[in-house]
Amino acid sequence: MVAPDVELIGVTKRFGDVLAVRGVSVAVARGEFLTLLGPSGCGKTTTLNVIAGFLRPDEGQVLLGGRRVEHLPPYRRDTAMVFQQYALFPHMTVAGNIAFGLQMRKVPSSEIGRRVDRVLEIVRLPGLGARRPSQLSGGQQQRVALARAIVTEPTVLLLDEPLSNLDLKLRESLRLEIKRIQRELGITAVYVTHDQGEALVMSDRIAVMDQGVIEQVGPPAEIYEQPRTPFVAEFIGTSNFLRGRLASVENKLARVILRDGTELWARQPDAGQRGEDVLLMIRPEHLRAARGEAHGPGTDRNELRAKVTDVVYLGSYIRYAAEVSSGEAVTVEEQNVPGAARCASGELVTLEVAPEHCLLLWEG
Amino acid sequence: MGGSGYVGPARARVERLIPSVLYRGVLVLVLAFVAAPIVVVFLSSVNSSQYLRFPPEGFSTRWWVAALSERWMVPTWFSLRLAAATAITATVFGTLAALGVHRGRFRGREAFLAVLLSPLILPQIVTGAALLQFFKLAGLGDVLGFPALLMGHVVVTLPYAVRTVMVSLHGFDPRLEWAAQDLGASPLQTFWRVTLPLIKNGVFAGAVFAFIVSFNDVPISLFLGRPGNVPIPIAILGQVESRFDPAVSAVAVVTIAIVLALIAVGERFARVSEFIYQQER
Amino acid sequence: MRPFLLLTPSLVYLVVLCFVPDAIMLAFSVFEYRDGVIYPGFTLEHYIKFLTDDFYLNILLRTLYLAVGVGLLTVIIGYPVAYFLVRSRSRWKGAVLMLVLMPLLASVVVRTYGWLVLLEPQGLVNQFLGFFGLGPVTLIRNYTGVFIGLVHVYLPYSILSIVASLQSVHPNLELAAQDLGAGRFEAFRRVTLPLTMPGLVTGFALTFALTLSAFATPRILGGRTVHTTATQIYDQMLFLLNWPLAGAIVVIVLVISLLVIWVTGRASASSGRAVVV
Repeated sequence: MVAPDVELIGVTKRFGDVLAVRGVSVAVARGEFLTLLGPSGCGKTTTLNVIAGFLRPDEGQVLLGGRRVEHLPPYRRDTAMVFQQYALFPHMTVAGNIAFGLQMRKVPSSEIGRRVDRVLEIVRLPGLGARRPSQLSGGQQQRVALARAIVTEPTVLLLDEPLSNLDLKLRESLRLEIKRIQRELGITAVYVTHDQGEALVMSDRIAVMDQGVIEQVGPPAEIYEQPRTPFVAEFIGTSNFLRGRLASVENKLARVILRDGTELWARQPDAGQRGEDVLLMIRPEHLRAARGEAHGPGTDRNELRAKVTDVVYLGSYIRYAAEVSSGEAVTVEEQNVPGAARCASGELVTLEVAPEHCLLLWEG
Repeated sequence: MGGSGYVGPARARVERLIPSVLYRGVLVLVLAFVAAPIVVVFLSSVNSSQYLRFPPEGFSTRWWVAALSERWMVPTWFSLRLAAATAITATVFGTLAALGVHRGRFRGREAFLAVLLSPLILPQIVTGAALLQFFKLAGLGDVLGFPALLMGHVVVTLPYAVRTVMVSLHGFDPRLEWAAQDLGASPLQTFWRVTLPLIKNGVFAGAVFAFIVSFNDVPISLFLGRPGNVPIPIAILGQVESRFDPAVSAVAVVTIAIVLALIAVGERFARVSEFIYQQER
Repeated sequence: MRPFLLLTPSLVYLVVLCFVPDAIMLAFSVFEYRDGVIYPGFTLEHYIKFLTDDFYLNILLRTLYLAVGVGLLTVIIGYPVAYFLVRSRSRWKGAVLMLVLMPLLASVVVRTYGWLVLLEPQGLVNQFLGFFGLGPVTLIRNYTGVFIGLVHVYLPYSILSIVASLQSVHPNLELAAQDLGAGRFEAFRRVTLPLTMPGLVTGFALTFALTLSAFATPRILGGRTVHTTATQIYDQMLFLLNWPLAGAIVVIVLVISLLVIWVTGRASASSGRAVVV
């Protein structure tokens, strides 16, 4: 089996008394796009800096292409970083910035010119080589930073929130652009972001981090649909949480009793003891508000009594804020079908949700 | 204007006028006071008689001829060499130290900076006197003259170099150094290709300030020179203490011209003036 | 480890050629001195001598008067200039800044020499006075000349201190006071002046301390008859070779300077509080 391009084993990094990264282990296969996703201060950038060699881990191993590199300085590692705010050399031209890495590798100057031109084509900035970084727009600087990183054909591309300083429109188009270039070059990428949208669109796999620990690693769909901790469920998308007690497990379904006695059926969890306190996670788009006519609950359909507290019109869909009978607040999102009846604020409704959309979680 | 009682327009105008006239008057007087001695030095250097009279009595180059003689040019040349050597030494030490302070994550970073800047707080006359005593006690009386002056001048100019480089490092993004290393540059290559080009204005300004401070220094030079080996300010001091000589005016103009020329060059290559506000005090 | 390596040359340099010599000088101030020979020991006689002997005490007191006078006058006449540099939109502003900073580019010896030309018995000032049938007045080889020269030499430092504090006071505050009915001068006196007190105090403390250690100006304009603490340090070091006494004077000058900086620092902090209240 081929060794993964990047592998971290039990990496820990401290800053003084602060434990920034705690026992992180993750592997990135050749050509894979892995995203480290998490809120600021979760240790994702620290992890990236450990891979690049800017920081030395206090414990654990860093392997690039199967080789231990903890002792190697950044300039001896075959990684290239795209920095937040780009870190373009302000005293060099665009071409000078891109040529820098090639010059350091003693590439003949005739070849440097050719490769700089070609990479400018790839990032769609042909002819801008003579400009200074300060003469470029944010999006263009971003592309130069990317060109500078990929021109040396590194094995691993590291990206530290490269889009965070751009406006929304540009961010969305550059996401796809970065992804296209990464796929075309077949380069292995580790991408750091706090933006779940970016992570979902770009990644082959996402590693969700919180407080220095990887909470869950998996493909975007798995992270979204089967979050394993409340943190992951909360951080990716919007989630409703209902507190309850695990009453029984029957026919591959778990029966949960909420605080007011309401019974709900949920997908069977991997484990779980009867009587345990649990959290039920339900995505807002899986709840349906029905006015009045209750069908009566069953193992194929859960029902919650709720009172609508607010109605928000969002164009393509309607968002309701509601308070369920157990006293907890939930959010409901429904497709906006023109002409369909809508609930009003203060109205009593029945919220329906299929058991396969109720996920059992344990508070960590 | 609300609130105040009604004031007649004429009186209000006078009330507004008095402070403003007073302010302008004082301003002009103070500026005249500031300019006077420098202007007088210029005038007296081309005045024909021993004492400057008003109106001037005639134009003469005789003081300039005297000033450009060996008597004055030897100490001037001595000062130029001393200031150049001081500037280079202080800038090399100071740049390294400023980079050290800037990079340091260690506790006591502020304390190290304070130590580096401390020669600025100490009266220079104390540093000069203490160094003289030190050299004598160490049996190093022979270093008095150029070597001792260089050592002393570097002590008092080092803080200037540290400070200007610190100023230019202030907006320096450490990730630029990371980026260079990430692209394969060794620490030394990173310094020459990225760090130094980006802080060169501060380094250059530090060198210019160190040069000027050294070139104009009195309190250190007072103690550490030896006969025939004194910088120009001490030579001037020795002359004016004993006898009034208008040739000194011409020499003074020469020293000012040297400093101004240096500032002009510094301004042209490194916009030195941007560091002046951070410098004084 | 690397940052420390970068610091090492400078730190070693300063320790060997600044801190150690200074420490030795301080140590010598308590050594004994008999007939031109210095003996290690511990005695406070040099301190007592400088602070009680009429000749030396007189020098100290006169230098202190001089320093207070120079400190006060530089902040008083420096204020309008600083105000102009910060607030004015005049096209002369750049020229005034140049004029204020220019003296800093000339050696103190050169600047003081200019005053010698002006203040001499036959100098321009006396010619000017003579034109009105006044004088001649003796303006050099006495404290008057030294005072004038020192005010000129240290004025830029006071101006820059005040400039710094004026820059931190938003011009809108003064406009707000005017809007509330204060005249321009009243607005300045009640708002801007109290807020810039810290700059005034810093300027005073700075020029005060600089005066205590000023050598060239007192020597050139005062001649051999005017003594200050700094000229005494020099004379004791080089001519009388009484290093212990020179060391004691240094310590006394440093203690007084630090005391003034500390007291004025506290005063400006509390005046700042008073303004807030």
